Amino acid sequence: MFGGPDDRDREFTEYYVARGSRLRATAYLLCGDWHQAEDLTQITFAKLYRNWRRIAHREVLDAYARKVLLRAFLDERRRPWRREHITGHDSPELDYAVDAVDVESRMVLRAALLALPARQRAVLVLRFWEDLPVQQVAELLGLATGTVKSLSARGLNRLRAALDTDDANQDRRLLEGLR
Amino acid sequence: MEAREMFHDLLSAPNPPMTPPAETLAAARRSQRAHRVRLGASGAVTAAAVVVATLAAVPAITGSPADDGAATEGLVAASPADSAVRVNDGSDLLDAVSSAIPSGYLLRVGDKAATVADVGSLRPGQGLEGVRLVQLEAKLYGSEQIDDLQISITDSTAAADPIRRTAAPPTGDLCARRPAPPGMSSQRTGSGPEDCRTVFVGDEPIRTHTERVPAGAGVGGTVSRCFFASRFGAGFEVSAQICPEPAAPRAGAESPMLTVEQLAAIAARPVPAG
Repeated sequence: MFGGPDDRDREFTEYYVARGSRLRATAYLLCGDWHQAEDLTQITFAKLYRNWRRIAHREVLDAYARKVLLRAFLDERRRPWRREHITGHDSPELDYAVDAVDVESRMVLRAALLALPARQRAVLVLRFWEDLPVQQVAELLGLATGTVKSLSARGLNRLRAALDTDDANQDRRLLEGLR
Repeated sequence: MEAREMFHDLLSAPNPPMTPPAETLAAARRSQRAHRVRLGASGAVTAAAVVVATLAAVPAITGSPADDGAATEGLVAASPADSAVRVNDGSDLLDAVSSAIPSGYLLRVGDKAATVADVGSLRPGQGLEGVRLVQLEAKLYGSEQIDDLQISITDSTAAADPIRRTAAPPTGDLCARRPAPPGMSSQRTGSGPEDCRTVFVGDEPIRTHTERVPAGAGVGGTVSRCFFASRFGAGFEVSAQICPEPAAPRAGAESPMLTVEQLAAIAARPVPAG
């Protein structure tokens, strides 16, 4: 067990400072919106707090947090009044200059990722961002390992195809601009 | 491009700052308190918590108590967002209340079921006149019992008179001590609020409590229970109260015909329009 009851708040805060940003990044990759990612992160940490004393070892905290986040993300997807809108615009205002090509590529990639079904997106994020093995991803999502592999391969192909198309479009515009 | 590289690229975009740790901790604490209240209210029921509104009732105009006054206790999860009734006046409030009452009861208001006396019109924040926006007093008839039912929508942001403002409890602490909303204090005295708990109608928390009151003059000191339910919205409060009628055929009835959960569902239904 962690420290006594009085230590819970301190330990919880320390964990949030250490891992909150990472968890929110995972949430963003899953849902594509920073504000929703923030909501999912807060939901996750609230549940962590309630179950803090039951978590036997710090080593399992990350795994537990990830599981709670994933569940919160998938549950939110089922709500009928929440529909995804791919606007292509990042909500936060830019406070520094960013290359227009970078912004456009990022928008294309984000749109392509969000166009994937939620579970396929979750597979990619868990495998290639969280670096989880196929078996663990399969257990988390309740899928067969073969399904995880095929979802991974197809999902990656779609993302690469979207970026390749974007590259080709940029090259064409560049050539047209030179004429 | 490798997948991880793609993800890093996505995450390199500007993003809003994280919620500060102190705020996250405070929110987690509030969530735990609310979670405990839900579990306490529902007993063995799961933390996904509970309750709600049932079959639509038929508003009353038959002139005699229903033959079958048995409460229908169907429990169906209702979403206030789906079933909220916009209320502009007493008629709307009557519609809202009658749609939330289980079938098998008769609701009678005044001499005629469709007549409702409005205390004031719905203009939040317009001073003393606008404090109690709309009120409904009705009789609920069952086969062997009649209950007094009172519903009001109160402006909780009355600008002219701060004393009359309802003191909405902070989020997650619906059972904090607070004064009764204006116009809702019963003429009967009782032993004070007890069994305060939060009942969830869909996702909407409703504060409920019970009070023991004398059952009426000449009934030999019998005490009956009244149920209260309050819902706190943005700038308004909906309060519902039900008590066995003292002079009813079965005088000395100990509890209202509706349950606390059914009363909470009634309180969850009306919403001030505009």
